[in-house]
Amino acid sequence: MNASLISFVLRRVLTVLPVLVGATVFTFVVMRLLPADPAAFLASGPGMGAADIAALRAKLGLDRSLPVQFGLYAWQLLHGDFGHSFVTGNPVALDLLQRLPASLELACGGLLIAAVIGMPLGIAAALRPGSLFDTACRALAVLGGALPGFVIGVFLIYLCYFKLSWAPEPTGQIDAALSAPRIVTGFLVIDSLLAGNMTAFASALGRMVLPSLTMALFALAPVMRMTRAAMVTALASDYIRSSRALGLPNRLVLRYALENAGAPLITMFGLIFSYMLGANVVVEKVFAWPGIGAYALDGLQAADYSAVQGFILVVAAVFAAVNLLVDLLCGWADPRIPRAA
Amino acid sequence: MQRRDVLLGSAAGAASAFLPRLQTRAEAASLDTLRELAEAGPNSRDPHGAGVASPSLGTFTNIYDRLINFGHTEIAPGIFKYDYTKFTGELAESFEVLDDGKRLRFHLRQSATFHDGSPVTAADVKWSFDRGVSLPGSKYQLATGSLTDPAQFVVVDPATFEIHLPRGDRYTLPNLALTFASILNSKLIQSHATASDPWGADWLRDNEAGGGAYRITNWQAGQRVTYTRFDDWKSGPAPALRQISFEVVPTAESRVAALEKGDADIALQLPPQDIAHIAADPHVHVVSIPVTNTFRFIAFDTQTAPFTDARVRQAIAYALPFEDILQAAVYGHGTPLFGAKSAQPKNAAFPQPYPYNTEIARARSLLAAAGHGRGFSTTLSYNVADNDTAEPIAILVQQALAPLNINVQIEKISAADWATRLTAKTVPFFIESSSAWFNDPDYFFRIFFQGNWRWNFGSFNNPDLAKLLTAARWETDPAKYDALMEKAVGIVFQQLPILPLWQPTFEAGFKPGLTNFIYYIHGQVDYRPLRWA
Repeated sequence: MNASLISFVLRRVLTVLPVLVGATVFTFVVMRLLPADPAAFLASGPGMGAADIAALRAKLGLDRSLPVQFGLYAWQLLHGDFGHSFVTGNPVALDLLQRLPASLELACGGLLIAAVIGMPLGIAAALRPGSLFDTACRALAVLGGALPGFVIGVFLIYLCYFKLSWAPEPTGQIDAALSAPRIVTGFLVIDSLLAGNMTAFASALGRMVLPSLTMALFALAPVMRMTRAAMVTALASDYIRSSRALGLPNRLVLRYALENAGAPLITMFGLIFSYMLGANVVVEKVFAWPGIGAYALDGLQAADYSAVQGFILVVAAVFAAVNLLVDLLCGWADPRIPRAA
Repeated sequence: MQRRDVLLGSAAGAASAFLPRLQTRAEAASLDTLRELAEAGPNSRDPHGAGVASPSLGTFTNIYDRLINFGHTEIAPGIFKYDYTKFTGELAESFEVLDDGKRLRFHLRQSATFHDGSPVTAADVKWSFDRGVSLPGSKYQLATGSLTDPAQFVVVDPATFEIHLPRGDRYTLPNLALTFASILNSKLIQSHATASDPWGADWLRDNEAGGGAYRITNWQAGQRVTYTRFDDWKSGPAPALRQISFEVVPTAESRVAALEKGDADIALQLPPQDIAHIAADPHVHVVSIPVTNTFRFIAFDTQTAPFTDARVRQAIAYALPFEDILQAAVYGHGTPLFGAKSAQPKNAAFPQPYPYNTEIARARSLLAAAGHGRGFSTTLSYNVADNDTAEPIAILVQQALAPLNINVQIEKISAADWATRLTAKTVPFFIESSSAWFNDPDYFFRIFFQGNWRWNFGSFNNPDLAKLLTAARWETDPAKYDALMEKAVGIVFQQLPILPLWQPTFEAGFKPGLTNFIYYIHGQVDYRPLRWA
């Protein structure tokens, strides 16, 4: 790694800080603008009255002024304390640490499948724009994007698990009867491989397939359309015309075109990945996947301030990291792109 | 290697792992394990905690002992229901009711230990009750059985414990069988208590400290809990199941699929629209038990116009298509609380069917008499989390009231906000369901028809009813008690602060062969008696 790259990364990390501070303030304020009172929610026990609600408010620190509450929250955050979730009963930091890898794993799986299916289709469509194949691809993409994740998920479960027994039971990341591998990356598929536990690996990979496929169908349309657009642009460029005129073999021409379409495709994958991470709540619910989306939704329903704030903060950090990665990859794929902070 | 090759290679790997059929639970089943799927999981191990989710009640049942347990009666082969007029010893080998019920004496099992091996003593029992009557999550419930003050709990000797009461109370024993009366390991909790948290509530929420039949050997909040049998358990016959995996599967379709494939042994919270289809499956045994302590209702805020006038509330009741609502909302899976023939209560039981049927002419004349012959506009609210059941009800109510010129706006309130709104009494007309721990009518009435709290859903305030309830509270003659409560039921029939619709049915899917299930008030699974036939 050279010095300019390190300074680039450092500068980018510094620019992320204001984003995180902004996200912290924003979610803190928005959660408190909601009319729900966590103390009233918690005081659900038989006979708990106004005095107990007041006591709970005091215990949660909700009786203090908003600036004081925010100061305390920020102070805790600086010490790595994200607060306590009363939905799970756990520290929010622990919950997020356990659940973020599960969500990332699922988003990666979905993106991978979408790329493997969508990119070749997009390239093929770009080679014959306006053909029947092109139209069929477009129709497929529209269909995939139009069906809600819930419907696709339940349908896949019915078909692949219930009727055909191809897929394992759609409940969670790994068969509960197996002992989970030691956590290294948090991606169970990778951790089980690292541990050399092939039974766990097969179970974890098997359970990834249906939820990843559901996520992939949702990402397929943008992957296919963007690949097609990037390839059409690249194929229409002067250097491709020149290469063709020079009689270079088709394979080579296609490779040059692909390399030039690389930067916009990487940018697109970054966007889709970020989107999938935030929007996979439904898939997580259907497949009982222990991810952060389902966690945030449960927190929101229970006025669990700390859980929702922690979720937004973590997602903001992941978005920033993905953006940075996209910039670095774009620079690698297309050396003409300057590194601007 | 090209970037694309990497992608293609891993995709092929994924496909090959996908194809071989994995061993299912059905093939791996053994006779001492159980796998249970539920919609949500427990969030606490503290039986006196605030904000405890209902699945936690199952956790408390299995990891802690009570002094006594409810008796039970068989309602179908291998299926039992708790009987809260009968009690059996649990941690207490035996107990005596002395001095007209003013003194309860419990003889503890001398050999009983907590999970950490320390003996269970009367001092632990006393400390557990002291804690229960001090923490807000449990003290109000225990107070319904006259358990209010630590001075009432007396250690006679290490194996004998007494509860002293100001007067004999028929609600004391039932309260002792609830999870609020769980016996905790006092030394263990005290070692984690702090000056600001003298009862160790922060610690116990995340840890267990008991001596019940099961220990928690894995706890992943919101995902799964593994229970392992505590082999030194002395408070009952040794449980047949060695290990239970409780897993959270939020979507009903996924739970049902796993159950029908034989991968799950118990699935809770079955969707009403699928019950008939699931029950027809020979691989599943559906258990349906009418829930007698829970009811679904429409509430009117009797302190807010136009619902201040009983005639308006009655008019609405006469306009509703009850049978259609029951079918649309829960596919008929409930015990109707409407359509009684006589305006006189049948008996003293509550809830019982109200004397309302669809009679539009009567509704019109009542509205006219109340001065609302031209109708009015109002808002009907419900909790979004309750959408599956409440939405069909709301739509049918809206349609049914339109001919009376009652213009109903439907308002969905977020789950988080719902408690706030009900506590602040800012919803005049709403759909809700609620439960009481016990079935006695006076107990129900004290929760739902009086007091300035959320559970008085109709904000009802009736001096005659208050007198009847005060008299019934300590009435020991059953005939006199029934006479008082029949009058009380007559008042709510006529005054209608809330309009009950039906009582739900507890529905669970079992793998055939699982037997000795005991249904309790909380609708969670007690693993201790369960076994495979």
